[in-house]
Amino acid sequence: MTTGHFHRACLYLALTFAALVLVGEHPEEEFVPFMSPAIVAIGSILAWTVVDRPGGRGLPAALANPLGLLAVGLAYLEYESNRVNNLIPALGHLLIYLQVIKVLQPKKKGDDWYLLTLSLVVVLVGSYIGQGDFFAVLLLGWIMTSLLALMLGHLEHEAQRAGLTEGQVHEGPGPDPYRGLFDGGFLATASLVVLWTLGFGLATFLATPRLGGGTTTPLAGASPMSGFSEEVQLGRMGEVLENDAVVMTIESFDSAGNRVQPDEETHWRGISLVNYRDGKWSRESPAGRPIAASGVGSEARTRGTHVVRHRIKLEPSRTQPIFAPRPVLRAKVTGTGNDPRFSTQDATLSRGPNDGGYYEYEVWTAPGSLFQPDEEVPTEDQPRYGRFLSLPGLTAPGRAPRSQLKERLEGFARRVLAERGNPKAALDRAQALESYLRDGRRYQYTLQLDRVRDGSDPVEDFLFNTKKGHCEYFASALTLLLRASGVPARLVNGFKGGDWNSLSSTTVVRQKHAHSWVEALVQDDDGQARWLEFDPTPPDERRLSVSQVGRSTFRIRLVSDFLRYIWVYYVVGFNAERQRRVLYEPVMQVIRKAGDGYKVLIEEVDRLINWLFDFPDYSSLFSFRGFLVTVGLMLLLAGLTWVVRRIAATWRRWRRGGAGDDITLPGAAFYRRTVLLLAEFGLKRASSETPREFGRRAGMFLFSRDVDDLTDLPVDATDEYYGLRFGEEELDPERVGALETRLDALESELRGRKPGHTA
Amino acid sequence: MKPIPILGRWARTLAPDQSLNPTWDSAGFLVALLTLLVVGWYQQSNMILLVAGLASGPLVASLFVGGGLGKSRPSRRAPRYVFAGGPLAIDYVIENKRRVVPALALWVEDQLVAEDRTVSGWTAPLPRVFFARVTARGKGRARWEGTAPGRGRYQFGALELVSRAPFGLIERRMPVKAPGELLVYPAIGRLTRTWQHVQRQTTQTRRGRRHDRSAQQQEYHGLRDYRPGDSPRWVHWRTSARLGRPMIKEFEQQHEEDLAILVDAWLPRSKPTTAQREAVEEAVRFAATLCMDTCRRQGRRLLLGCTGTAPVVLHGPASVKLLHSLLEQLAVLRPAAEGSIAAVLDAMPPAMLREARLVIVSTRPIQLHEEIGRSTRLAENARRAFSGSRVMLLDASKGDLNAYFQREDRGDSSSFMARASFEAGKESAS
Repeated sequence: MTTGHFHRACLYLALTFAALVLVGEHPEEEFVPFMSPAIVAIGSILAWTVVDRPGGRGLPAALANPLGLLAVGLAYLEYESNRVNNLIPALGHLLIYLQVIKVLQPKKKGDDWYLLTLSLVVVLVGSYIGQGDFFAVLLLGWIMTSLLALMLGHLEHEAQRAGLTEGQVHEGPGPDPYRGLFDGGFLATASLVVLWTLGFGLATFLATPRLGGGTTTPLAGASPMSGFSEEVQLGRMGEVLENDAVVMTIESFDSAGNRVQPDEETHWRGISLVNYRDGKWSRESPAGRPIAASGVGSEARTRGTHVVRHRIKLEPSRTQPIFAPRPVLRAKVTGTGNDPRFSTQDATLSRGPNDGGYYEYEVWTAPGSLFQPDEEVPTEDQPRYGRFLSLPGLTAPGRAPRSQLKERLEGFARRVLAERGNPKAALDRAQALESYLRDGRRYQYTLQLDRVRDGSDPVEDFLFNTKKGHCEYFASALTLLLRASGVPARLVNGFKGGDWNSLSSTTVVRQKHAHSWVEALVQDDDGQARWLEFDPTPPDERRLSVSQVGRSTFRIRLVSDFLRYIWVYYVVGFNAERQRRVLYEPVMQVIRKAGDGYKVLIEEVDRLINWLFDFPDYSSLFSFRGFLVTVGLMLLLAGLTWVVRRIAATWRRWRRGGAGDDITLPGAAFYRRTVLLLAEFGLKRASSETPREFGRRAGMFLFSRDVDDLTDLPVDATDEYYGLRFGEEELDPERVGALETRLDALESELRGRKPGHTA
Repeated sequence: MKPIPILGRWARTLAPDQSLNPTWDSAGFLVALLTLLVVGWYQQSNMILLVAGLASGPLVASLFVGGGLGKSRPSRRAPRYVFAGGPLAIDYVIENKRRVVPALALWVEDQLVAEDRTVSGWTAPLPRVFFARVTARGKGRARWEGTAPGRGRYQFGALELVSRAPFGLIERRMPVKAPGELLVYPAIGRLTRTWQHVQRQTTQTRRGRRHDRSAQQQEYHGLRDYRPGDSPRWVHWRTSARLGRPMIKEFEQQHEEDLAILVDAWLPRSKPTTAQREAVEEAVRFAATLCMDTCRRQGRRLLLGCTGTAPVVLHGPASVKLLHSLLEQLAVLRPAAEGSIAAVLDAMPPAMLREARLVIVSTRPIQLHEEIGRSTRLAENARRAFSGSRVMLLDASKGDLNAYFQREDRGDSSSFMARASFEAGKESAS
């Protein structure tokens, strides 16, 4: 394999990566989106093996042009099939078709740039379609292969140029001028180039000023999460629990702005569900008056020392409820989109229907605080109070066997409470029922669900038959048992805990952390009714189950989560606020610190300058201090002049390439001859003299030697030299000839007619 | 590491010893990049900005990854002299001082600058060679072959290392001082049979008259140690007595007469025509060919005189060393409107003036008797002797040389071989 083969291979790999970027995030079972990378890969292999070989045949232009038109037609048909969602993908696919046609044609100089530019546009289209984790990996692959293709393409192109160079002697028609190229040295160079490219590329990306909250991300690939809609079928959360995908990444800060690790058992509350019927939970309807979450609590509450601020980045999802620990003191969006809304009735935070891409928001909360908005706590006289006590009646008509679920639940609750001494207080009753389910002896935690009796209610089945289930069953059972024992209760779906990443100091919450628990309206120790959390799921068994989902080892997970955090926060979600925090504030801080450090020095210098320049009247100038100031200023001026001249000289030298003596300039032989001839008679240019000044002095010198008719010659030669040196003129041979003739005469005059030497 | 070397290295890094020039590829690249940046910024799209940022990477990497120019040392091996229009071969070597990284796709560009363009003309070759790969701590060699330019003295300019690494977006040039000189002798032609014939006739005629020369037709050459068989008559007694050992006189047989070539490279002061310039070159070529032909055989004395502001006369026994001097003089001979044959005659040694055969090559019509009349050194009797078959006057502007001299194609074997045998002895300078 020659360097040329490697070059082509890298180029085609880059095109394939670009096509994969265009695929976006599709479920693996969908085959059609993966057609385009497959087409590019097949076309590339065909071109590599047939077209790019010496003497290989490619697609003729007569065939390529109709194929291009056909590609346009295909793309149009794709667009027509779904005008709403297909415009961008159709354009991307058109670019892919054109790429393949170009790949199959014989290559000319510049085709690499053409193909890579096409792939760049494909990547841009792909970035619009999806920005998930896989996109980052594919983008990195595309960058690396493109850089390698450019490097190798440059080498190949230079070798071709050398083949056309006149005079170059080649040692035989070797197949590869870069034989043995891929050694450690080349890899080191390539790595350096890649690092420079990535480093500077990211620096450019970070430094480009941001004006607002960041990019609005498209919804492609986003789907609703099971268990977080306004109507949830019991058992559906099991799909979520077995999924390792990331839901949100959370940065937590204490009141001083330091990063803190949230409690491992933190409940990231999502949606609360009230109505239960036939194994289906639904949200309280109507869900109450939503208010902007920024106005939930008073501003003063968010300034307490115990307040924790969570900055949460939600992955793209079509699910509207968003997550936060109780109590929510305040919440606001920090990225793009609208501020979250807070339902005063069920304490659910939610975002707008069009904010389904990456959604970033901040939540202020106070662990241990019992703050709840007044509207959230219903009183007994309110009609909605009864909803929190309602129990399902008969199972749905047509289902067999029919059972009186309500009676069974009430009987079950009575029995359990009787075992615990029939506590009177609602709080005690709730705790008794919670511990009954939670202790792990009677009910087991499992994600493998088997229904014993078809047609029965899932909660009834769980409580009386299977006695196995996941958190959703435990929570549903407790909610209904609490209601059966006269305690208002509701089911809450959300997440519990998360993976703490010590590298990025963030909490990564995955779908497997999804959890259900219960909120019961009970009187607290202070006698005030509040919604309190009860979690009936056996904690150890759940923790074991969560740890078994996902096969990555801890270290790999740590690194991959960290990289993901960088991607999510500092690439996809990079915005003006983050730019200010990451870039501008540290720089300003350094400047401020430096300013403080030099403050003393600056003050002293300031005092000295004030003393030196304190001349109340003109007469005071004529003093020793005045003398010092004047001399100092003159020295300063002279120094500045010297510096400016040095810089100008350096600049001039740099402009002409940094080397060479003036008089050795090609074509300036006449001037060199003039200078050397005059030097022979002791006339040399001083360093402070310009050539023209020297020419004038030389003219006077010749006048003193009675060479009257040639006194203008040095100035004339200097003028011609100036034209050549600074005017970049091509001197006319006749003008040079005339000068040379006059120089002959001058030489003759100065030296006299002396015979030549003898060998 | 000591601080001062670090400062020195930084200073060298900052010193503008390399110049950077964008290529056409980079122009297109820059346009695409700026478009992406503007669109990304306007849309505040992080993905477009990311791709734009990454796309700017190659451009910046090109500024900082320089293909190892700073650690490459180019050098040149060129001949000290060549013949105008003949083959010119220059060897270039690059030494890669880097420890690990090879130098890839490097060009070395050289420049020959004529010292005097009125002599050499305005075109000079620009040798350029390509080094595909020079391994770390290794050396790469390449040869450039071309045609030697017009006669004259040339200075080699600085060697320029050129690299477009790593992407071909920015061309980086670094001049490296490598002074050198190349002397381009006039092109050598071929003397025709007519010339040989005229030579023979003249020699025979002149031999018939040379009865006053040494009776033995031999010329004293020098002294050497005695060898068995030497005649006692050849012993130089005075030297033998002084040295205390027998010394023998050596004589050299004189078969051919001495030759003086006087070149009058006249060119009018203003607006010389192409034909006049060509006549000068033809005269110089003819003189060079005559010198070459004469120096092939030893035993003759040869003189070259040139007119000009200051007349030049070079002479001596025919030898390779003299030939170099004469060809060098002809290489740099500047046509002039001043000067005359008479001045050259005045500068000639008396013996040569008296006895040598004179070939006067001029580019203008010359009245010999007027030149002799202008001469201050020619005595009246010498003026009478200075005529007839001893002097051959050729006017190049009238085509007088055509009968005696032919310009040579590069493939002409006889003269080429003569030159090759001459070149075999020449030194080469690195």
